[in-house]
Amino acid sequence: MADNAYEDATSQLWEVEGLFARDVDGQLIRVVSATEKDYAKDVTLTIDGQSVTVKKAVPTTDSQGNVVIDQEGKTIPRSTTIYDAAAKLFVKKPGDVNPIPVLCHQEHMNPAGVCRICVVEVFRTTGGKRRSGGKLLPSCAHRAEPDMEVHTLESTNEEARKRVQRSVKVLTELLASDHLRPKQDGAPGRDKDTPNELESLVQRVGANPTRFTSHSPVDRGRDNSSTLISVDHNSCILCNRCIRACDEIKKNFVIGRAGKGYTAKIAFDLNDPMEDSSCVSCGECMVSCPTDALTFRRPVVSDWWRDLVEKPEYTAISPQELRQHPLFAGVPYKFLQWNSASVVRRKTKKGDVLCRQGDYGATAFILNAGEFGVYIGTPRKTADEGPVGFFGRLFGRGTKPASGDTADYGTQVSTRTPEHLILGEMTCMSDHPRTATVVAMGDGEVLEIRRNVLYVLQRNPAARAMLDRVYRERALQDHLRTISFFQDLTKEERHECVEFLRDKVTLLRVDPGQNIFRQGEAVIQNDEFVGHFYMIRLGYVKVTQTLHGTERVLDYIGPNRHFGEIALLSKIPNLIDQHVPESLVARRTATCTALDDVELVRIRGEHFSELILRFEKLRNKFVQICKNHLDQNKPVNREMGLPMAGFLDQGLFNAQTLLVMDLESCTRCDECTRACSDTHGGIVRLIREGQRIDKFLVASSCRSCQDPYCLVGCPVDSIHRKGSLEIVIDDHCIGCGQCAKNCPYGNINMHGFDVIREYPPDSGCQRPVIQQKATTCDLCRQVVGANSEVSCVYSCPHNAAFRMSGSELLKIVSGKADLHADKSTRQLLSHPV
Amino acid sequence: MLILRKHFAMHRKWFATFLAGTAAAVFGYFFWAHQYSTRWPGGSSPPGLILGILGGAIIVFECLLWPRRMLRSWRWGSARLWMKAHIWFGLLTVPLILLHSGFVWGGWLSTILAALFAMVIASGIFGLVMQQILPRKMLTDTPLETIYSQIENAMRMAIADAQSLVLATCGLPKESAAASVQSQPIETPDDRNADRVVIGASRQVELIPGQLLRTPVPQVPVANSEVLRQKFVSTIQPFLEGGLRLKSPLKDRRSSAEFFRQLRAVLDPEAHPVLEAIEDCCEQRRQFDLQTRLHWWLHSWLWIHLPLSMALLVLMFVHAYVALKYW
Repeated sequence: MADNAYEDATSQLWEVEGLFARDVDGQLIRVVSATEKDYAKDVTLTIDGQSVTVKKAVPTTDSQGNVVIDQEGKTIPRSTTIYDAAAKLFVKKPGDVNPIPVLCHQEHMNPAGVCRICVVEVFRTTGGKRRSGGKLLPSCAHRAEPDMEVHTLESTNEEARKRVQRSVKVLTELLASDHLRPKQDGAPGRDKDTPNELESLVQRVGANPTRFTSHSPVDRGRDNSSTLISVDHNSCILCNRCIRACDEIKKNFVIGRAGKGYTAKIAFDLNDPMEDSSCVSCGECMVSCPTDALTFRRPVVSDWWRDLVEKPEYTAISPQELRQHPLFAGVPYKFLQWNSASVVRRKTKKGDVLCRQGDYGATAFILNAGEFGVYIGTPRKTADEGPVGFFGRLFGRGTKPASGDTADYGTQVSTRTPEHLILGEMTCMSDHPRTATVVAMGDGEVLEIRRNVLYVLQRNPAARAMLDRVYRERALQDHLRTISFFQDLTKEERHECVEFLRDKVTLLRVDPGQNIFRQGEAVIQNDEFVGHFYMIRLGYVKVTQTLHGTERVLDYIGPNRHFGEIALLSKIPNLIDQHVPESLVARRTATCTALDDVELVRIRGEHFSELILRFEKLRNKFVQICKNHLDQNKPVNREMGLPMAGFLDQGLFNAQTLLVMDLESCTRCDECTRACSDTHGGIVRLIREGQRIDKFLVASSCRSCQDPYCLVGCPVDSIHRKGSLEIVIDDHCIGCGQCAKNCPYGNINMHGFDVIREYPPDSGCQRPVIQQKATTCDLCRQVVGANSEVSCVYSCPHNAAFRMSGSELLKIVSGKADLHADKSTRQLLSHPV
Repeated sequence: MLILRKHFAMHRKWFATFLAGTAAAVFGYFFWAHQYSTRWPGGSSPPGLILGILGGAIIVFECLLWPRRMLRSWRWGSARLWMKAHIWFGLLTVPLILLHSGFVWGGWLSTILAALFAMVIASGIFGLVMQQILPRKMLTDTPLETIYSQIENAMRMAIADAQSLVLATCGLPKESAAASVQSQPIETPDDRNADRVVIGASRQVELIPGQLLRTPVPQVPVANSEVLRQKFVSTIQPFLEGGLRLKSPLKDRRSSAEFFRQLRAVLDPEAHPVLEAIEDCCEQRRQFDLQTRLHWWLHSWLWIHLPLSMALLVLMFVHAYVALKYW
């Protein structure tokens, strides 16, 4: 039946499209799914006469390039498309142009294949004969196959090129005739001098937008209800980008399609006006739109930008200028217009400090000109320099002003020039403090960009690859400098070890819940090392052991600690093998699982063994460490019993400033809540409810997580750390709720602020509206300063409220520290964090 | 504020100050009495006057705790420091005022003042004792406690959940019962957004990732479960709404267990998880009621302590004025 299913000519023609089927929306979808085996298979094809080899399948990634894991913890394979292969071949760096144009497709989205602008001519060689496929194929959705000969708009094969050009041109002209609208002067988001993607395509393929004069007979109308985004349905080409942006990227599921034929249009909820729908106004749809169908009303301007551009060394930079920068080539122009206040140009002079080691920064620096020295020293304390106050100021205590001498910053470890492209990106990407101080060595220029810009830059695969390479290189260099088990070595030995490891370490990223290795796994198979040694750079790892079917948590380990050495050392005779049960020699004695987003530095098993055998001091140290671990693990560790499970499940290990109430002392007077409300103008940032551990209540208030999930994906970068631990939400928050959605602990709340606005937009009518904004605990820094106690703790009359880190709470609960009696703990708790 | 056992370490210096102050006052008073007087020096004597002024000043300071608590965002020293000072200086006023009185009641004004003072001190000590005992009791006896002002809201939600469970287990009610069992919409007390334009996202609680504990609900109504609906309407729902104010077998933990045991015996095992959930709701109601009672004991003494303190303050100034005028 299957062999002769396509007998007639029409059916044979359809066979070419047989890889696809139509979904409920009538869109072409792929029906042949890739498998994990395809990851290893190579496919070589020719594009415009150049050969390229790609993997048959790659793991599905999200919009930021992170690999998506399914519920079973496995990757989801997707076939490599012709467009992907062309990108690999032609786009080596940001700014390079892919010969295949796209309109409905973006590299960070799943292909929809609705516009057919990306069509290519494909020849295949079957039975020794070279044949055309008979029809043009959408390269964004069609998988790359072996021996394909692909011809694009730029092909050297004239016949094929003309065929593709003709098709793309006609399609473009049809779209342009219906949807290209004359631009209005001065309308934000509709820059008259800068073409949108459809207009750019018209220019690129030399299309005549007036060739087909008839416009759609139906006026699909405008939706001006939103104060943030204006919708012109007549400009919409129904490419589904906004729908995918809303559904796949932001997971808001607000936009869909309504109507049929000429009346077909995008719709919010059940075709409601945008403002009345459940739209959260995050702007993702507008940024994704290739035409003027979705445009913003006014750009976002932050206080950060306003403050900076008043200083002489800073200047504003226009979106047109930004667009000329190769790094921003892949960034949607509308995003640059909307968020142009997220970038400033800074002219530097010799001795100017770009960033300081130990600070929590929210910006990165794109180097345009000049040389910059990178210094590493003792991290500068930011907020813990003791109370300043009246007497502090009187006697000169508090933050010590920089003397301007570079010796203050430590040792210079490297020099950066515009060749290195970017600096300071590690803090933005990892949410951890700056690892170095950067000082201008002469006159120079940098573009200071905020996290949201970096976030959008990462959506472009070429820019992402470049940023990723830079990040990995610097992260590894930084980690090698600070390896904890090298501390006992002499300077020379340490240098020797670092040099030995320099090209032997790899940076790995592990998702929360993913097993790094399991108990009982062998580290050697067929005389080859398959198990390795790991050092934690960022994040936390849970160590568990299963005994008699019951899993118990042995420990949780964090940054600068290491694991995986026992199995590797037990394989070397006469080291620790006599301490390990015979069945577990060269096998893992415990399971290690990532608790959050973990970055690991891996040393391969064979290299670790070599390192150990080569350096005696290191060997003795590791033997001692392993023996200690094995001895500790013998009896059931009671301290790590019940509190530990809840502690890890609730992510308390990640917390730096938990609001903990001692329920034995707390009279439930709610003074803490009232003080919070009074301090923040009536908007309370804590709820005296939450998880109970022993006699303590962990109240719902921002924990200042070490790895704050809330910072990820803010479209206007209004949420960030400011200098110290506190999470601050700036006033330019657009109220999209992304941070509240991201916070796993429900500690960010959306609060409605009464404001007077022109509403409906462009009506000239001022009326009160409720502007939602995110609010969270800022540790009262913005109100009372960095050196004062947080209001909730300060106003508790019963000494029942404390701020402490998760590990301190665990120590107190497990009896290792006393809340009231232990002096060091008390000092820790009574001082501001 | 806890002052007993291991918490006493925080109060050691204050306690020492209290002892030192008392000792100094007693020593000075008795020394003066021994040297210069044949009877106990009264309020008009030099030591009596000094002690009176000191005691009065402390009383004024004690009353400043109120404005301090009202002006929470002002940085006037931490509230715990003020509370410690309030407790120990308050106790110090007892020997000071006692010595100031010269161990006589005096006239009607000073008698009233002394009585007021005694009541203020007694109510304060009573409150302090309550604070030593009741938070611990709440910790052990009301693990389900919630924010006091939210008790009724939490209970309303629990009732709505229980109604849904009963509906899922017993199916649609007969016409006669329909009115009473049908879910009632949960009131939104402050729906200020109803006629206003809202820009941006409201909090989407359902999107917060995490483990959601769900009661297994029967997919189809359980046979012979009408008795559950009857009991729910007649006994359980009134108890959940009224709590300990009503006479109900569910008021007491033991009789409640017996009530549900009997109900479990006549119901299909498929309905047992739902029954357990409803039993938990009843336990929640009992704990909320206990919390309400404990909360009352923990805070109601302030309704005596505060007005009496204000009256004491006013009368103290009257006393000072009268004493100085007729000295």
